[in-house]
Amino acid sequence: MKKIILTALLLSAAVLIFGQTGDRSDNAGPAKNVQSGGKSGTKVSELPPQKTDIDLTRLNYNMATALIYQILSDESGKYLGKTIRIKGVYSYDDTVYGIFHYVLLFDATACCQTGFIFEDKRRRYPQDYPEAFDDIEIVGTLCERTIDGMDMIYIECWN
Amino acid sequence: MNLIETIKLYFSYPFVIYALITGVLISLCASLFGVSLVLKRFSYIGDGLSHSAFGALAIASVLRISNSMLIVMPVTVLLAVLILCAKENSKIKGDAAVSMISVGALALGYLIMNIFSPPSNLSGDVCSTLFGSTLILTLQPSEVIMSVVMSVIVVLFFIFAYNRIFAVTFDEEFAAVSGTNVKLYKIIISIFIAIIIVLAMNLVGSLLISALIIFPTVSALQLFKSFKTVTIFSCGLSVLCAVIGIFIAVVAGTPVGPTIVAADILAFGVCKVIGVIYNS
Amino acid sequence: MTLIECDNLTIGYGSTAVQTGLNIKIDKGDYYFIVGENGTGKSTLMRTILGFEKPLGGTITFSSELNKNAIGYLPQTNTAMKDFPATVEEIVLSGRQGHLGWMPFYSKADKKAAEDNMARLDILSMRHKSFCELSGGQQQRVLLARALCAAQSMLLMDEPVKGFDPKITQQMYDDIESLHRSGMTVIMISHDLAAAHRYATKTLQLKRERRTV
Repeated sequence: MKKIILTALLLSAAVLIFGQTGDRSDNAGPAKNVQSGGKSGTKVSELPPQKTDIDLTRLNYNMATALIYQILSDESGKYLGKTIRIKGVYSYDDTVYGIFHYVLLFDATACCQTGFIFEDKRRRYPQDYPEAFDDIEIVGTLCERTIDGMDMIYIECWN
Repeated sequence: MNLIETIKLYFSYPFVIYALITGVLISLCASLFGVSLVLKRFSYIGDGLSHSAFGALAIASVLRISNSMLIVMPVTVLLAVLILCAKENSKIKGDAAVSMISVGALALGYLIMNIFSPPSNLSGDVCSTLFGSTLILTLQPSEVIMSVVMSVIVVLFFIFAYNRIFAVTFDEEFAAVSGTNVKLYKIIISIFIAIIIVLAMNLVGSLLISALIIFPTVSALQLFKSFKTVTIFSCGLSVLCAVIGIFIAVVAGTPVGPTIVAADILAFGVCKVIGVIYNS
Repeated sequence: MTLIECDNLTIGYGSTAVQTGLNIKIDKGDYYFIVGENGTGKSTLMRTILGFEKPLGGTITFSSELNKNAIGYLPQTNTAMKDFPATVEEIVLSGRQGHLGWMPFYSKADKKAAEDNMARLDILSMRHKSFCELSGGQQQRVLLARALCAAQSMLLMDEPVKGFDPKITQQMYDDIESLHRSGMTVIMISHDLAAAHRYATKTLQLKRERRTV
């Protein structure tokens, strides 16, 4: 028991120190880099409750993450076209393919995150988007697109 | 939405059922061999092998090997055989060597992953790999089937070789003199332990595997005094804690691995108290 | 006929020899005592014969008549055993492991043999008790019962009566003597010169080797 606590404490210390260095990825495609500091914009207003096929707001973190994993790793396409509601944290990334907008779920220790890219054709960047790490709720349809040879699932927002 | 509805909703997802099945099987296998490991004073091996497995996993990710098992399994099996089959009198140096490899693999593994940044892996978050927060909820059917097959083989072997395992655990030298091929059994047991540990990484993460191996056995030792009853109780308790742990983690949203270990710790506390009361 | 023959045997650990130039012949039906002070290598000799230590020199030859899988061995109780969760019955039965072959479970004959040996040493009433709850003398009897289950023709014992009170000691010697009379070859390490004098057919006395520096 002591050993487990001690190991966990020591590793947390190591992770804390190492974690400060952050990611150094130069992959093609949507990178994991999350930049802070968005322009000031209007916060997303409360959306009226609508019935969706998949409602992640009803699930706790474990279940939501697991389901997101199932959706993102599914190869049969059975989730495409389904409607989804998700509540998380907003972030964006400026890449060579354009600006990607994310809705992310963080776990309690903020050590891991997962989520979706979303597109909202009604909004213009940067005015209509919230600040990075603001809360955001997205309702939309799961669609797929190919960028640079990689299939990406994203949420197409509708109101 | 009340609790019953929440539970019904959560358990309607197949990945939760997969998690339960795999969790039960892995914890069963871990505790079966845990009895021998604990009694032979090899409790530290859970950490040693799982940390090395993590290091191997890091190398596999960095080398972009899609099926990391190709590297992780052989490395872990090799280490298990080396550690468990080393001569008795070199054990004193042995445990320092194991610790060095263990912590070295963990540190270097994490370092490598940071420097060489493997492609963003959906469930490859280091956090999950180390602590098993949601790893077991992201199992694919093929992985579940593999776990089931492995577990069945492990359990069948254990039942078939039970008397030999007892003999080798209780008194190796006597077993050797009696004609039991002690070396062969130790190698086979080492291989199985390595396999179980690698599979268990999916359940509780690298850091907490020791708990699956040690806690149920030590809890059983508080209450029972024959090898058979210790083994049976240890397995039953391990499975129970895994089920309770997964159930609570799914419903309450807590990380799966630590929740299972918490259940194990609680069970140990209860057994210890009962043991003390019963013996006084 | 000779079952075990040691020719110019040197025993020890690593590069340190404890005894050199041993010439030993153990014949069928012998009651062979190995005596000597502590540190003279008695246990080392037994362990070398059993194959746990490598001889540093010389040879050990076993007769083909000797079934190496049917040797009963009674070691000194070590600390790991003392806390081990196992009942008397489980331990004694494990003496029959040489008879398992490829079968996973012990046969009725195995269980009967275990029962007989437990009864012979008056521990049958404790069969379901845990080993760690027994006294030193009782534990030793359990291990002797186990050794008897394993022994078909040869029994090796390392100080089997160490720490026993006189009554139990005598009981043990009587049991072993009756086994010897029924054909068992016995090799015993002991401090008890009187017993050696009384029972032994052959005695090997090991003395500390004077080493010239």
